[in-house]
Amino acid sequence: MNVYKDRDINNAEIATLVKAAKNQKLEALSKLSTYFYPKIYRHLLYKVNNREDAEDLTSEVFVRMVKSLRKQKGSFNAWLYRIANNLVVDYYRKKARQKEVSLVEDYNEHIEDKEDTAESILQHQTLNEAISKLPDEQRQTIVLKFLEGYSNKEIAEILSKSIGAVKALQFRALNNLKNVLQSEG
Amino acid sequence: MAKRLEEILDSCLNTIKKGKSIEYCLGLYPEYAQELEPLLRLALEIDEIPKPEPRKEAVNVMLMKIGEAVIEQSERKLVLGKFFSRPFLTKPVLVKSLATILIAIVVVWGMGMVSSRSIPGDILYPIKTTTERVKFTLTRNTEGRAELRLVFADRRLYELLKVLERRGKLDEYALKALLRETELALDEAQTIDENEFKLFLTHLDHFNNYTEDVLNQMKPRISEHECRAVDKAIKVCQSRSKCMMEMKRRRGKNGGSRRWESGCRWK
Repeated sequence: MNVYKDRDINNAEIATLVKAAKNQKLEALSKLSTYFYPKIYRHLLYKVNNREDAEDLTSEVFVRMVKSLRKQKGSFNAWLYRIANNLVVDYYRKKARQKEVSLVEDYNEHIEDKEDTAESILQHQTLNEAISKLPDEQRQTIVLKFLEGYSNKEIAEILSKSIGAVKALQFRALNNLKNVLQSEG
Repeated sequence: MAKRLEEILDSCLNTIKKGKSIEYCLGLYPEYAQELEPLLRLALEIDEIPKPEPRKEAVNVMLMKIGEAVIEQSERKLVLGKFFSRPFLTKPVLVKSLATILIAIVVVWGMGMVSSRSIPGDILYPIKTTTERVKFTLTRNTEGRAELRLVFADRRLYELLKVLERRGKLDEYALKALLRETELALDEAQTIDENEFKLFLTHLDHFNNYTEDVLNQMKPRISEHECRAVDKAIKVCQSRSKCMMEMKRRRGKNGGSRRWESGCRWK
């Protein structure tokens, strides 16, 4: 059971919450944080491949959000993901080399649907592993589009690309994914 | 051609999202059906992957951290605002005095920072508790004070675990302080706005459940005598959990009780 799974908040509600949060309203800050936490967490998990590190980085994203929210302009989504991406850059800068930890292992620890059959779990693992092998921008596009349900426009804002470029990334990502899965049999 | 296929793929994904089948989309573009079909099926498979969800404790920690960041920011704003509005800042003698005071503050602050990871029994621990008392006294708004109580409770929990890890025994002082701080957190929240109270209650409830989990996990590592104190604490956590559930249930337009019921206080 995911206690933090809120109903979907639309863009107008996000804008209202951001406005209140800029005035340090604790309720708005908490709502924004709990709503975006799982999204940012997944985004980071796919980037750092380690649950504890992804959790620490996600917390840091929201602390930074609180500290610099007053200066925020433009799309809030895109701004938040930018903070997350900057933290990932720092994270890898600090690390001598990327940890060789399997995403599947972490991923399996906290998927919540226990009723899945062994076959479907295996299928999801394979797919998930293939996603983690995609180039960064293609992987981000897949995660944002299919796991988080963002529109092309929102993805374009987050990745600082045009909508056309997002469509191209989406096409290339699915094609690459298909090839990776075929090559692995 | 590739450009056109990207557009068609995107259009098909949108159509499927609206409830149409893959076959329907392929029928719209029969000349591209062979290339489109595996990509669309793959997209549907990705859609069905269960999302990795964060742990409840991790979200709790994040909420604690942002609570601390908010308090820190509002305190800084208050201090800086008062400081820079003083006209006597232009007089050299007073500037020297202020500089001395500032240095003293930095030294005290530095000690506070160093002592922040200390545990009961450490030399710096009294500095940590004094810093907390000062911070609490300086916090004026009720909301901030209630959140601060929760932050302190979280620190007591950390100390409890650290003492057990380092010295292999239960620190009854930290256990008592942990339950006391959580208890006082609700007492502090009596006058806050109803909406903010609901949110606060959620934080408190999460923390209380987390505490109960941690205490249960500690039991195999402590003596039988110490277990009795932990069992008593777990009982209090369970009573509090029930009490908070009741509070949440009764929250209507006119609010409801915000008081601990009997059995929720640590004696």
